[in-house]
Amino acid sequence: MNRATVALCALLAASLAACDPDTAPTPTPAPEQPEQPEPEQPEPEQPEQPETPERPEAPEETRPVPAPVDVDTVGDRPAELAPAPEPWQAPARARRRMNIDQLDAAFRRTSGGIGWTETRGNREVNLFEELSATLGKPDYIQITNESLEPSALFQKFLDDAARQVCARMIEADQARGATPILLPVADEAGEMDVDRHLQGLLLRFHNRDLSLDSPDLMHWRWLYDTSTFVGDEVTAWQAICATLFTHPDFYSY
Amino acid sequence: MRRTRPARWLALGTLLLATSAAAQINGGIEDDPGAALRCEPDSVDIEPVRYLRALSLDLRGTVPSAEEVDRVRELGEVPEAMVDRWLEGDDFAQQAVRHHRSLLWNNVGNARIFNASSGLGGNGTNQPMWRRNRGIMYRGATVACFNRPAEYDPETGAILTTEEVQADGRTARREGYVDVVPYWDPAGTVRVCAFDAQDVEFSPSGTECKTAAGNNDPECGCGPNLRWCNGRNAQAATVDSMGEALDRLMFDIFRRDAPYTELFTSRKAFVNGPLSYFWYHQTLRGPGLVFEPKPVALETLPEMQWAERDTWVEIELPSHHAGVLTRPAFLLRFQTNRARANRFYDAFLCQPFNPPDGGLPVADEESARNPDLQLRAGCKYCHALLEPAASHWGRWTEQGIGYLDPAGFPQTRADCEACALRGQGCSGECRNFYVTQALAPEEEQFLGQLNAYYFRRDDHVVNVEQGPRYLALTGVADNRMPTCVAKRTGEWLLGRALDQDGDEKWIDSLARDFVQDGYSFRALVKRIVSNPRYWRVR
Repeated sequence: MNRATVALCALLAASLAACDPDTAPTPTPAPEQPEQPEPEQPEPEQPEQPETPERPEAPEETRPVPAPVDVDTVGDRPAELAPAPEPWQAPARARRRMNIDQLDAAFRRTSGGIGWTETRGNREVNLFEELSATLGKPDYIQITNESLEPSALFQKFLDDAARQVCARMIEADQARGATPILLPVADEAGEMDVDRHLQGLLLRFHNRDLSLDSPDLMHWRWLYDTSTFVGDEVTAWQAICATLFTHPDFYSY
Repeated sequence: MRRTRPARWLALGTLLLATSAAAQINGGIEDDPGAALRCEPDSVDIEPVRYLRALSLDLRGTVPSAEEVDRVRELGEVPEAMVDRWLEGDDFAQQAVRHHRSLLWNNVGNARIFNASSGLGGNGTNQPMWRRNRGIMYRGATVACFNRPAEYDPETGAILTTEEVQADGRTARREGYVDVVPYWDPAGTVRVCAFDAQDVEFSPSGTECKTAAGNNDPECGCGPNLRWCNGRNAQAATVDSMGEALDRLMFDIFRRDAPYTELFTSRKAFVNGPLSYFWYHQTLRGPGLVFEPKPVALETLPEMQWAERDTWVEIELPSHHAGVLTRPAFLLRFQTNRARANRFYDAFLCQPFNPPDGGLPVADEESARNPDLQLRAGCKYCHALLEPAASHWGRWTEQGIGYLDPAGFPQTRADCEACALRGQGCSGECRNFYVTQALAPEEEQFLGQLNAYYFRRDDHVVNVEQGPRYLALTGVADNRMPTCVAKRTGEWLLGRALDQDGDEKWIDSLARDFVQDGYSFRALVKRIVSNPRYWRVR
């Protein structure tokens, strides 16, 4: 290993260690320098100047006095004259909103086949299809770019869809009985394991594989508990359902 | 598909050994020799089940099933076989079509294939159908016929009418209705005003009734089964079918995993009832759009009932066709040759025609008058390239879908040159497809030449003769198209512009692999979704 490599390794090791706040060396103040006597400067002889009108001299106490600035330290950290380089980020996919076709399909698969629809006369109108232009789907005549912004309008319609589909899911669960999706099934002892059911719903709606002691699961447990304060259990599960559908983990990926 | 995370020691080793190639394969720290000098950013890798969700949404358009989720949880990774199966399915082909719809802007719903005078109003049951715009021509006022059966002169067969003074003081002659089996419903009949229901091929005055001139002859009607008129949204069904035919062609290519180049070379086409009926009966009454000379050979086209909307038949088009670039949906969506070239350059070569930052230079008066846009100051910034590119569609009619065969439409036609130089009346073909006017001395040399040869350089004449297929294959040969396809596909799947550090090298490597994989779009997509860039989400 030549000298240059050794130096490079040392530099790398130092920089990697600097990433760890526990091991990063703390800056030390610069050692005080003993006062040095100022060398006497010979005064150069000034050539004679032509007489000019003298400007009135400012009084001693109003003259600006240069205030020395300590550039060695800022607070307890060394000052850097150049800005720190932007931390390098590995190239990644941009998290984005589902398009309307994906959203429609995702609602149906997640809900067990229930879509956001409305009955008009004798036909069932798919509201995602009907509102697709409003929700960003291009027609390639007037609009040629697909808008995937989770805009306020999108959130509004998503909320409408979630509440309608969740109400239908509850109805379907109550009709189905044995294999419900939203409503938990009591075990042999008649107990309902709310956390485990929430875990299953998160896997179904968001494809998030959480452990029972995950802090993320606790948020949902909190929502369930608070919902039961203001309504019955069915209402609480309906609220959970609507929140799962309107959560970014559902409509974005 | 197992994922690996670059560890700090790996970064150090990579830098010391300068094994950049290996780093590119791993993908985590590629293109950044300074990675080891910086703090490792927060991990943005996603869990296998979330990776599965993203894959399923992009490749199939929906979320994974519970069984698929369980399988991935069990394995701890997304099995490659599952991705392969998805890529081979119809759902992926549909997603690929959806992506390409955004490149081709496939929607010709606003194109009008019928003249406004061809629209039939009325419901055909208790209100006879009639053409409002032709009311004055037939009856002397904008009124429909009586809702009673028509009567005919027993000797001459002429339609008998009753005169009636209208509220505005005008006298209208009104007839009765006849029952007609319409082309859109062969099993039923509709009541149609007798003047509108006339079905002669030629009027007594010699007008060919199926042409646009038939709209202005009171002795022409809508033809047999009303075939020259637009009733019950027939217009919408036909243009929607044109769009669907384009989608079906793309679906067929992606479903078979045929080489991507087939998009620009295929002669395969799909027709249904409305399209077949259109080609056989409805190409001459267009509202200014040019559907003739037909770009399809009628002998290869099945004669189908209009109502067979959901029946699709595969046919082979003549040799001058160039895949998606010569289909009605593309030609009607982009109705000028410049628009066609512009879309192709932007979508498939990633070379949009944009003015430079700061705008174009102001032309002096002399150069501003130059009729050759390839030389005119300012214009030439784009048109030096756009004009020769547009000439690839020089044998395809603008504002239409007709094909100008070299046999019938040579580079120079004597009759067109004669009418241009001697002031004789020019035929419709000369007026529409040949240069017959010169507004500047420089243009006189092109009088009598096909529009495609107007200011055409000698080395660009081949563009006109070889057509859009030649343009596409040139882009393939010089690698612009594979690179652009890799870029566009990457942008689709990563959901962002590919302009970050290292993206360019990655696109180059994808393009190389795309070519080596025989232009397999499926393989290209698999490479992208298998790359660590896709696993990381930010």
